Amino acid sequence: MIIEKFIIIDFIKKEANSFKFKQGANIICSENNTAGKSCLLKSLYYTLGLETNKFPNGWDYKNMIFKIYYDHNGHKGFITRLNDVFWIDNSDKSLLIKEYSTWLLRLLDIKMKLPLKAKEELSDVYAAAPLSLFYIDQDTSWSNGLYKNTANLCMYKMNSVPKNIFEYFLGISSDEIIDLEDAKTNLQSHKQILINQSGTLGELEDSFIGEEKKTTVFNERELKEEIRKYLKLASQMSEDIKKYKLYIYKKQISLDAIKLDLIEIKEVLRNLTTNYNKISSKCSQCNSELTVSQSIQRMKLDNNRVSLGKYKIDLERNVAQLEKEIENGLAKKLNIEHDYKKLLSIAEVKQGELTLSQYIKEKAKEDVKNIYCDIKNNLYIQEKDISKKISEINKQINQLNKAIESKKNEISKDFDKSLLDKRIIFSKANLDYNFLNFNAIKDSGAIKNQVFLCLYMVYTELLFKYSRIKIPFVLDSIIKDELDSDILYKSYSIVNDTILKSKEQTFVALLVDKLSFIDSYENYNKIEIKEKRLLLKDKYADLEGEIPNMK
Amino acid sequence: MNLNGGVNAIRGFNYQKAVISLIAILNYQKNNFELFIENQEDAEVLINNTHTFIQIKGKKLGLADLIREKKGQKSILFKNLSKESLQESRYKIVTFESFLAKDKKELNSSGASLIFDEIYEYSVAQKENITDKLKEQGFSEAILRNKLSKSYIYFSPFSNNLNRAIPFLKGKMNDLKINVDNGKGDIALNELFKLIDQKSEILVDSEYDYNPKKKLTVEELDVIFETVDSFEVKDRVWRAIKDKFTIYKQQKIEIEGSKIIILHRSLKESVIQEIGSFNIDQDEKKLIESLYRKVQHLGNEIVLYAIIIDIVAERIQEELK
Repeated sequence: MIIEKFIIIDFIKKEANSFKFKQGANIICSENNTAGKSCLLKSLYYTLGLETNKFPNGWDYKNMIFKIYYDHNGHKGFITRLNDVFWIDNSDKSLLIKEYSTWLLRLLDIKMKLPLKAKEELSDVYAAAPLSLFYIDQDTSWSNGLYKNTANLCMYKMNSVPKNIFEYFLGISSDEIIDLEDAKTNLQSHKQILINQSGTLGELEDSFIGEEKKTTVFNERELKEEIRKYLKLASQMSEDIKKYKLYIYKKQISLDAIKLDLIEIKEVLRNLTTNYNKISSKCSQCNSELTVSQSIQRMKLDNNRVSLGKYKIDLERNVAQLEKEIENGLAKKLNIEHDYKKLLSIAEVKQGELTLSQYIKEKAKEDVKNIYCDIKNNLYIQEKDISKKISEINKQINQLNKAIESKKNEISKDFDKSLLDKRIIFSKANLDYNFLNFNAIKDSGAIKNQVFLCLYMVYTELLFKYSRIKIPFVLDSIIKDELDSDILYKSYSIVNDTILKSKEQTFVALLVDKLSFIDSYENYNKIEIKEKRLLLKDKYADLEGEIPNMK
Repeated sequence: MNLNGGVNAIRGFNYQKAVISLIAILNYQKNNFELFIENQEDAEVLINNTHTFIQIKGKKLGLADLIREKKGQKSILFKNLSKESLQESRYKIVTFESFLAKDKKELNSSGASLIFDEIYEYSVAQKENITDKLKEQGFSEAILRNKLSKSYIYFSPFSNNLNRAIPFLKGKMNDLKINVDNGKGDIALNELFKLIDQKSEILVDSEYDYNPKKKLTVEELDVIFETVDSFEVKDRVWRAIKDKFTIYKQQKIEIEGSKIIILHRSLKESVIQEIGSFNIDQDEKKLIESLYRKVQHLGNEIVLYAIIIDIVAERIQEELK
């Protein structure tokens, strides 16, 4: 990101000013202190999102609207701030610090997270966190530990700031590894669940499927026994049917014979009657002998008729009896036949049931087995899958670790070398510090300042060299109190070499008389604040229009 | 074999025939018994020269009915008492026992008559009544009074109900040791009725000359009862020998026996020729068997046995006569 222009408008005092910046070094100078250099630079970074509570007295920033014109990778836009409200580009939508931070970080492609003090988890960061590495403030940055006081980062774990921020910018952050570790932990617990499920399934295999077998056998036996009974009963019935058939057959033969007799008897009776009538119709004018013989004849015929009549009645009775017996026999036979058929059909159904039930049981067993195997396989595959993923993650973690380690070593070497160089220049300063050790600086007084300066320069060098994220850098003056001109000279030389000569956009505030310590300063963008007047009334009207809807 | 309501085998039953039959059965063994059917009266009976005119009325009557004129017809008593014969006759009305009670009560029992076991004569008052009525109808009083003194009523122990009459008649026959079992009674009565019918139909030559053909002779009655007896003889002969045959053969022989008169007459003649004469006074089974052996070549075993039994029975009957 490059800041091209900065506008400040005090809408109460109706004063404003606009400042143009360039890529590379921008020197903010003034003849005196309290001209407003700090105000300008603090306001600039305030607008960017670096919260500060150390505005100089008299700077009524709350009555001011600040607007940055930025260019980030070709995209030009604005950041407007009024107190705690931000506006981005041309949008009317106002953002609070959190939303603004989200936007800024997205713009700069920063995905950093820092561990919160209170909780275990990593948290998204506010704009202040990354910005804190790029602003060396004259008031807050020279005491305690490096980078500790400039921004309000107390919500994060102490040993994570600024260490983790540096690791992120230098590309040696373990954030990615942490994410992978998280993912790995999730996968491992998921795998454990699958292992438990497999275990449970294994237990079920023995107890569940084993029992089923027994049940099938038992029912089969019962059913077969039932079928046997039915068939035995049917066989008995079949015998009965045969008996009845024979019975009926015999009766029918008898009946036939009797009927034949009956036909003959009826015929004889008809003849007897005919003969009887013949006798009766004979002329009765004949003599008594004939009459007597007629009488005898008639009576004989009658006698025969009586005998045969009785016999006929007997026969007819026998016929009726036989017919009834045959009918009963037939009825009984039909009954048994009906029951027999019914029984056979039941037995048949039962047979079918046996086969069908067997089939169903087998099928069910098979299905259960299949389902069981499917589930087991599924679990196994999932387990394997997860194991593979875990293994991959481990691999990635290892690779990352290696890369990070390697890069860390490299940067560390650079750090050491750079520090050594500084040690040569500032021989009295104790510069025995390890890379990324941000413990409090122990030295005191002027030596302390030298230490701070060296370390800041070394770290800033590393940022310029290794960070892919480019943020404008501010050095709001070297310490004010240094009187030793040699040290001053050395200090400004370092600053020049490290900061001003770099291609990055930088802002350095210094007094005009210190310019001499900067060689080739005329090559840099110089913004001089004259007459202690940072904001001007006559610029208000023009600049008012830069803020849309200001009224 | 069991009787199947012998009464059902009776043909042509009516009250008149039943009464005449009764008269015949009760009296045919008496000396000089003659019975004329529908000559002048329904029946005329002659026993020991005593003549009776019998009017038979199959109705429930009262005295009034007997003396009532109907549709130009003379009254019953008028007609009955008008009859004349060559000798002095008696006059009887035969009717149902269910005669009008008050009239019946007034009658006087005359005890047994020649013909019937108990007859009734009219009371004095009744006679007066009858006389008056018949006089009105044109009857001469003097003759009437004379005839009325010989006029009686007999109440038959049966009405025109066949189911009562026949058993009664059979009972009477049985009393005379006439065999009436196994339908024999029916056969006898049927024949008796037949003869009565026949004799009824014969025309009356003259009132006083009795056409012998209208007479139911003792001979004729003897024949009936003897014939019936002969059937009994045959039955007895059969009973004596039948257990020598199987039940099946027994039945067959009985049947064939009943068919002889229709189917086996010529064979019977042949058998008669073949067996000739034989001694009937011997064990029947042995007799039958020996006779069979003589004729077994002539035909069917069953038929031959039936014929032999028939012949043996006839021979015995002849001997018993």
